[in-house]
Amino acid sequence: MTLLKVEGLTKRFGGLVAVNKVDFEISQGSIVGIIGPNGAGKTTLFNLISGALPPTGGKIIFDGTDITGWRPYNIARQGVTRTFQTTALFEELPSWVNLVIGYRMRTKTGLWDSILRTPRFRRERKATTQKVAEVMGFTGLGEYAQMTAGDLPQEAQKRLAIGVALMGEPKLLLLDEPTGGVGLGETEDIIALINKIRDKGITVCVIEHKMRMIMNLVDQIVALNFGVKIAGGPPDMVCEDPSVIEAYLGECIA
Amino acid sequence: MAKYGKAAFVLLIIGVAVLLGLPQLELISQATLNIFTLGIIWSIATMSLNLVLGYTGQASLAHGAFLGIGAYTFGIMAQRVGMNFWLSLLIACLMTAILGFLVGLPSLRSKGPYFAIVTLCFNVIIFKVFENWTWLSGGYQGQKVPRPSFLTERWARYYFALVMLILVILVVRQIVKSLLGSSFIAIRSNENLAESVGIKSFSTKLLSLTVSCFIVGLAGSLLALQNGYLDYTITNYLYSFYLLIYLLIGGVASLAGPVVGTFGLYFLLWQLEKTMGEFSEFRWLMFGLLLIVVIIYFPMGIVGGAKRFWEWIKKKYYSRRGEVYG
Repeated sequence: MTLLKVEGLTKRFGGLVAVNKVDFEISQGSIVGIIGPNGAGKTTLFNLISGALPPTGGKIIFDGTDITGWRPYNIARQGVTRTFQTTALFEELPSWVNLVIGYRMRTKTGLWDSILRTPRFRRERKATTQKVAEVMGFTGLGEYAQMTAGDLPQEAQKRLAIGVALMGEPKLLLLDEPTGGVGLGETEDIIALINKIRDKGITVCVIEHKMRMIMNLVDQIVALNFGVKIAGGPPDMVCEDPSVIEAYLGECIA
Repeated sequence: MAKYGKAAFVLLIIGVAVLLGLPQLELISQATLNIFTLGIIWSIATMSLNLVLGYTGQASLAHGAFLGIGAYTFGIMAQRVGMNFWLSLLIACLMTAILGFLVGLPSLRSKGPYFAIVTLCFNVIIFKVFENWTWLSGGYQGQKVPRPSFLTERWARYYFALVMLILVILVVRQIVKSLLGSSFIAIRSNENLAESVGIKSFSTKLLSLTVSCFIVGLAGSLLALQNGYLDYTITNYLYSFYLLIYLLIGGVASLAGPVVGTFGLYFLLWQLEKTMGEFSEFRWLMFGLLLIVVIIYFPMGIVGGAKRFWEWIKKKYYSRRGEVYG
């Protein structure tokens, strides 16, 4: 079943076409990798899907709903959450508060609930506490719960960012270089985490530069160069594609 | 973090208890009591700015205007329309909240320093309108503000303001220590990330500004009530900066900060004015120096500095006992 369908997606910045008529599909429960050299438009593609940037043309259909040009918060509420390349966190707040904020969109506590401490306030606070504990355990962040997010080690920050995105109960998780700037052994931990996320039934789309890692992790690859999709399909096939080798890989490593 | 919140809250309660006893002790003169009442009223105004600036991260410089609008709505309702005191108070707060909402609609679309500039412009406009539209403001003569019979005594007004301050602190506390408060804080911390996890930043900021204006409307009404008269200078944009300075020195994003900052500075300035005599103009110079010192060494204000000091003491204590701090 197709979860996300992108048709002729285009983004122009003045004269520069950052993403040019890109088509691809992500099926439910899979892990899709997006590869390409620097400036290929990978992050722009994520920004378009998550609503951070409005597309110039094309269509994004998520779970049967056309979400083209929606605001980021509405897309998140629809079930698409993301992480950022430069790890974005609520840095001066403790890790657990970061997670609380991630769950906020699934709660409805308003002004009167807060002031009067209504039953809904108490119910939702309990649900949030449970969810925070669950995601803390899932991402293995328990020991860092009370620490300020900005003081966490790089690798823990990456996992926390994934945790924040997971709190919103997404159907599709967009990960922008989840292992960027992380050591080798710790990369393994994050790959294990991504596999665990898929096993929970959440579809994952990941931008990555570490080819060896992506070959083992993903089911499908989309290769971009200068904003154009140059190849797509299973990893071994994309890896042998001459245009991908020329643009990005140099030689095949799988 | 929760622990510090509690410690600060307990200190705040103790402070309030001391304030409660003050008029009974007959240690302070009527003039001092007046200054204390004004300090409490300005604390309420600073508290309102704390909600929108300290917690939501939107630097509104229109709070002087909103203060004036609250005061005038109350004054006009009570004096010229001749309405009941409580009803006037409620209408003043609501009116200010509605105006805050309307001002927020366009201005909250700008971010950071641009929002500060837009709101400052609004304040300047309001100031000019009140200065020149004498039918509304009463011009230089201003207008009288009637007091209800139970608030004619100084100490009664003092207690009334104090009760209102406690109510405001409690309401703000309930808001910021809730899931709604976490939305506010998320927007202050990282608005883009907040939007990407589904927080509707615009409407959340608008709600914060509206609630903040409701509270500052209350402060304005109390100010008019305390002074017993009103003129157009109450909408002065300088008050926006005063509130900002009180908040920065006291400590942003804490419940005790606005009260400590406002009360401390208000009282200090008044004392300096009394004692320095002909040199009293120099007090502004000291004020400026204090501001620089606080911003450089205590970026989270007096309350933030006190928390850090408390942390340091605790660390010393635990290390002396040979225990692991944590």
